[in-house]
Amino acid sequence: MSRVVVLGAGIAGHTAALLLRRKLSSKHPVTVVSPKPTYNWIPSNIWVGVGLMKPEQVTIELAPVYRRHRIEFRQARAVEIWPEGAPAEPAPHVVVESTDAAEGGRAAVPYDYLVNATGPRLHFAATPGLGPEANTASVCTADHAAQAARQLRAAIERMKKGERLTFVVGVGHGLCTCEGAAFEYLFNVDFVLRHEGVRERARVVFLTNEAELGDFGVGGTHMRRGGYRVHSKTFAESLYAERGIEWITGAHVQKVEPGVVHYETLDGKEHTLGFDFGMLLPPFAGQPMKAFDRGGADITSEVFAPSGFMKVDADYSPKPFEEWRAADWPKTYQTPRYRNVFAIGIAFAPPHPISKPRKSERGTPITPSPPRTGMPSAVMAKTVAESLFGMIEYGLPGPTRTASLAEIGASCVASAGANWLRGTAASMTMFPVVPDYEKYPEFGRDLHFTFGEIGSAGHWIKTILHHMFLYKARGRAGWWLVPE
Amino acid sequence: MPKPYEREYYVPTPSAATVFFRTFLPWQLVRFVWINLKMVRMISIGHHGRVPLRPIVLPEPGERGSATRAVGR
Repeated sequence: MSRVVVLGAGIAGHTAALLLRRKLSSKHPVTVVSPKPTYNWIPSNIWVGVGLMKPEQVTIELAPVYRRHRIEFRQARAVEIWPEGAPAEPAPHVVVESTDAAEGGRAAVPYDYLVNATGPRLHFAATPGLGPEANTASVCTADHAAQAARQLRAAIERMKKGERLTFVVGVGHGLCTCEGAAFEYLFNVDFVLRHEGVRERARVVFLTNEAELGDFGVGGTHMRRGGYRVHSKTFAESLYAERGIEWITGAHVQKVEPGVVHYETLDGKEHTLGFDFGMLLPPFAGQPMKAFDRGGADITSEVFAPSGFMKVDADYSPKPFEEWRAADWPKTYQTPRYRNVFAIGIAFAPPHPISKPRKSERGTPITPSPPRTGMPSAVMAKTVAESLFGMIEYGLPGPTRTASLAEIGASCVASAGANWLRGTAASMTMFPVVPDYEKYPEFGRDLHFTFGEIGSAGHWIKTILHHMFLYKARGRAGWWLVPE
Repeated sequence: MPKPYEREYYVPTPSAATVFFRTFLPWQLVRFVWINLKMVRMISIGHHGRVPLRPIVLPEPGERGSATRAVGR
C-alpha cells in the first residue's frame, strides 16, 4: 500500500487527486489537504468581479466530490513537511493545522508520495495599502471578486448621478504575475460601463509591470496576421486604443493610499495616480511551510526557494538572461532531494522569469513573474499523476512523464465582455509557453500553433469551458474525457 | 479619438468591417469551429511535447522487473 497526499485543491491539486484516484487501485489511499472547503474555478472570477455571476456559480463543495470518489479530505493547512520522518512519527509526514471550526488542532498526515499543489499566497503585504482589506479590490478569490463587484456597482451608481470617475486596473507590484487576468477584468469593466451607458464619464487606466503591453509575463508572442508576423504588443495596444483605455507600462506600485496609487516606472521616476475604483492584483509567494530533516534541523532553504515555492528538477543556478535555456525548466516536477515529493501548478519554483528581467533606473526590479495558468497547471497534474501511477503500481524507480513549460503549449481565452451576441473574447494559443530560441531561432515559438483573434466565438468558447471544467471538477460521469 | 502625435495615434486600430465581423453571427460560427480545431490540434501536441517521448516499458503488476507491457506514446 502506498499513501499519496495531495496538498491543495486548486486546478492542479484537484486534477491530480481525481486522476490518481482513478488510476490507482483502491488499496492505495489518496488524501487531499486543503484549507478551504470549496474548489474555485478561478478563470471565471472576473465575471463575479463585474457582477455577472455569484461566487456560488464558480465554486463547488469538495467534500461530496471526494466522498463519491473515495478520496480522504482533510480541511487543513499544511505548515510543516518532515520528508524523512521524525522520532515521534517515523514515516514521512506533513503537519497540518485544521481550518475546520468543528475540529481544530494540529495533526501529522503520513505519506509515501507527496504532491505539493498549494497554490500561491496572495502577498498583498508586499505593497502597503494594497488589497481588499485596504484600498484596492481584487479578483483572486470568489469572495474578493464579489466585493469588487459591489464596489464597481457603487461607482456606476455615482456616475449615473453625473460624477466623472477614474478606474485603475492592473497589478500592484513590480514582480506580479497574472497580467492576463488583469487584462480580462479591465475589458469586462469597460464592457459593463458601456452597457450601463456611463463609459463617457469614466477614465479607465491600465497599470502594469509589463515593459510593453501584450507581454503577459511570457515576453509576449509573435503571430501571423494580415501577411505579417506581428508581436502581441501590436494587438494589445490596438485593443486599448480602440476602447479609449489609457495604459502605463513598466510600473512598480510602491504604495496605495485611499484614492491614490504611488508608483515608480522603469525610467526611475515616481508618479501618483488618483482613482475612484481600483483593482490591482497582488504578487504571489509560496505558502509559508517549513521543512525539517529527521533530526529536526530546518531544511526549508534546501526544499523551498526564497520565494516560498518548492524546488523541483529545474536548473536554479543564477545566470544572465542571455544564457537562459529551455532546458532550465523542470520536466517531471520531482524534487531533487526527495524522490517521492513533487510540486505542481503555482507551487513549484520557476528557475527564472520568462520575460526579460528589467530594473528601474533606481534599481527596483520591474519584471512580470512567470504565469502558471490553468491549462499548464492541469497538464502538470496529469503528468505527475501518470508518473506516480508507474512508480506505485509498477515499482518504477522514477517519473516517466514530462511536461516542461518549454515543451508544452497553452490555450488562453481572455474575456473582453460577457454577452452571447455582443460579447467578445481574445482566443490565444502559444507553443511552447517558454520560448525555445534553439528550436525556433526566430521568435522562440512555433507560429503554426501560436495565434490569436478576438470575437464572439471566443466568448462562446470561454463560457463552454466554464461549464465543462466545473463539470470535470465535480467528477461527474466521464469527467476524465474533458481534456486539461 | 487620439490626437495627432499622441502615443495612441500610432497604434493600428480596426476598420469598421473588422469590428463588425467580430460579432457577426455567421462568421463567428465559422471562427468558433476553426478556433476549436486549432486549439485541439495544439493541445494534441502540447500535452505530449513535440519531441516524442521514449516508450516506457512497464512490467505487469506483481511482476516487477519483467518488461512485458509497453506503455508510451
